[in-house]
Amino acid sequence: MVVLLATLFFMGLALGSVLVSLDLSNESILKLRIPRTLTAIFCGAGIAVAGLLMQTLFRNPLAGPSVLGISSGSSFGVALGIFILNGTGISIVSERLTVSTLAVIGALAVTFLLLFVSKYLRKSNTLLIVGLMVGYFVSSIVNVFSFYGDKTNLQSFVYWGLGSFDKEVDFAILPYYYVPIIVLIVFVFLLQKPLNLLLMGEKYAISLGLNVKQNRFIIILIVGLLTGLITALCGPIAFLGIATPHLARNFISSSNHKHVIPFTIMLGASLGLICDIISRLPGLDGNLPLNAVTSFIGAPLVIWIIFKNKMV
Amino acid sequence: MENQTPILSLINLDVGYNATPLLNAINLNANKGELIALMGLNGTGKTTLFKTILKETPSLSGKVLFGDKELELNQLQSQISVVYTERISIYGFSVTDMIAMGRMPHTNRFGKLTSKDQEVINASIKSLKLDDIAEHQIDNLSDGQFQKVMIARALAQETPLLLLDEPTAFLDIKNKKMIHELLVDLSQNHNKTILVSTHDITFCQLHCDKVWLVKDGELNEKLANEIKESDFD
Repeated sequence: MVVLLATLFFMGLALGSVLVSLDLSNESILKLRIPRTLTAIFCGAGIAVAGLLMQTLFRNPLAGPSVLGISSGSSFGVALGIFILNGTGISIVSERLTVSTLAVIGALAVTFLLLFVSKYLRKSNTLLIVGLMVGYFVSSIVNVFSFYGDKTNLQSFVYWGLGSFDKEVDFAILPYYYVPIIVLIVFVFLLQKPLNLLLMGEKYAISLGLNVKQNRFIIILIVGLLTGLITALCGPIAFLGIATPHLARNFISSSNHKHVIPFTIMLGASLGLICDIISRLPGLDGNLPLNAVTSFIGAPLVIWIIFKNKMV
Repeated sequence: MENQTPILSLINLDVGYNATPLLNAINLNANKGELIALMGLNGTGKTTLFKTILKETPSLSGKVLFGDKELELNQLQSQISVVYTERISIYGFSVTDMIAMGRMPHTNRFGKLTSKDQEVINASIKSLKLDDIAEHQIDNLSDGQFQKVMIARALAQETPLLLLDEPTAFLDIKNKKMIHELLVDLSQNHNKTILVSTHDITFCQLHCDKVWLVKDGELNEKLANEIKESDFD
């Protein structure tokens, strides 16, 4: 897996709409492809881990970072930035950073709302439904913004929603995303025991000594932060969060988080790179939308797993 | 065999929901090594009593003592292990993995199993004669085998009290018999106190030490061989 990841990393640097040699003095590699490739690795790994946490917490194979409404919260922040603040002159450093900041704030607002609600709910599945409804509610406001927004802003918003690993390539800004994403991913290793207990369902987990409410709080906070940061950096990324944990469990034939967490991280990073490479294959005029590629690869893979495991 | 050391004591306990009692003024002891059947018609409060003992539901009044202490929710795992009726499915989990989950309350933050944990897991596998299927996937087991594995997991938790909520509800006659014999073995040879909710009168009469009978909002103790169908009229 490490070899695959390393190979994909160098392929990511060399391949693109223009083929270049792996020369670090090459400006296009240094300024564009290294940040883009690193973003694909960290965000692919991060969104996959967020998906794994959600699927384990809710014991629901369809759970993913987008399901709890957290991505919708990000979209709301971005819509606010593009449709309302754009043109008012309100800006934090740059227009790009303003939008990113609002995306993180939007995701965190939904996350904290869910954390607040979760204190009053005994069952995680109820929280899943609340999250879905919050997502629909927030999306409806975004739709109103889109309907009344002008054409240029609408185009910017739709473009943001297509997702891309090269929305931000400034090395002065990227560490502000990379460092917290890496810290959060590493923190997930500390959760392997609670996650394994949650596989048994909440009743058994409690009987085996797990503080379910506290761990649910921590898990949702991590998912919210990861999703917010990644959505701010790349736009909403479809499917990797849902598909990668399934693939990881299938490859290693285990649900034990001691093995599933590292494998999901490596696989998420690899799939992020693969999707990025495909989205800018040599010969393509411009880049394909990232979300078109992730869904194009992810959907058939999940269907294949379902049939392979006779889950029909 | 049994002695008179109380493992679980219910003292003036009222259980129910939203201040509406289902069972009133319960005063009962479960002693070391006893196999106790909790019996009663559906909806009379058996599950609510279990939930109260497990602190999933607060008691309306009274006390639940383990030994001579009241415990918090996060201390119960050292005293009670539980087996529920419903089957759970975990992809890629072997029988040994599942039994190892019983050791989680004894492990460090990462759930790392020590050599002592491994010994207890192996002993549980041997006690329940699961050697042949130890590496089988739990999703591929029959319902009877699965419940046997869950009892082995409870045994690996090394608690004095086992609480089983209708463990044979979905099992055929052969598997029911197997689980019943297993419970007798655990109480007699492992000195476990076992509280099992069931509707099986024959099992009570043949194997249990006593019955906690839920009827008309009260929980009373009877000798197992005294229980009869008319008690449920």
